[in-house]
Amino acid sequence: MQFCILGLGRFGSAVALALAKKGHEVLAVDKDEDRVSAIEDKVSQALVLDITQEKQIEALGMGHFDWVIVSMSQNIEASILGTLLAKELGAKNVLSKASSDIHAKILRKVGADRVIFPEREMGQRVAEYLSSPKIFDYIELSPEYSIIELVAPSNFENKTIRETQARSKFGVHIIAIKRRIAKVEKEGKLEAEEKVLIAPDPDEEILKGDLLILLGKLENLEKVKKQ
Amino acid sequence: MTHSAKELKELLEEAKFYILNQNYEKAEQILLSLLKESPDDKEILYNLGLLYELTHEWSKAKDFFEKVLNLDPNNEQAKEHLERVTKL
Repeated sequence: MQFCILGLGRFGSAVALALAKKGHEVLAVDKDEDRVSAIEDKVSQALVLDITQEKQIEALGMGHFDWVIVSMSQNIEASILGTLLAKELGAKNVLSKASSDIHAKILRKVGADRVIFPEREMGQRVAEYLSSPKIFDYIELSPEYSIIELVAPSNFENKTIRETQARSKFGVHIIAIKRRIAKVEKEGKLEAEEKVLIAPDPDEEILKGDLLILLGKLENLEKVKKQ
Repeated sequence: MTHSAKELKELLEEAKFYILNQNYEKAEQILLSLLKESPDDKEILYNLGLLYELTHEWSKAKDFFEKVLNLDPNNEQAKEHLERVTKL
């Protein structure tokens, strides 16, 4: 896939590097020469450009990219202008980083297909983790339903999924199990490897240390957490 | 009870066998008792760190991987595992 990142602050450069590492084609753009130099050998191409100048951004060929990421939330004007221009010049999908609700509203109005608040979303994840250290990840599907990644409660250990009565008693679905097990490497040293069991069999036994991926209503997930 | 070097090695292998078979309780028992005799044995410390990583007791795992690195700051395996268990 092809991505264009406009703005190479902490967030923009992190996204650019992560996408490049996954093997995608990445064009990274910023008006700051130092930021561009810092990244140019790690992505497909890096350019020094002022993206608020229509002629400069036009030359990039917005229509070629699967996603254009606008990550200049510190400079609200540039972020709004960058989003508007990217969309007007043919970008298929634009993801913009917002710094406030009103900023997000404007970004959507000028054409952003997705608006994200990385600090807010990360803050929520951190809060979830700190208040429930057994939860390793959390996705809100809707105001009522979530998916959580929870270390198998002790009451579930050495029981089959059926025996845990996750569905009948707690109203939650165990949709996957992430299991880390040991394997032997060179010179007899042990290493860890991860197995993921998707839609596990009801007769699958839950082991100590298993990470259960649970889907359910929040209040039901809370009950399982307390087991 | 103190063990000879050979006995220590055999008990460590036994603990590793239990880890491989996910019998973490047995493995933990053996490793903790070995640790009392040899508190600075890097292999015992590493395997305890690994055991706690596998059982998702990551704060204990972190302690043991850090102990390995205090004894051997260039231990790449311990570094990788420490990074894993301290990532959110």
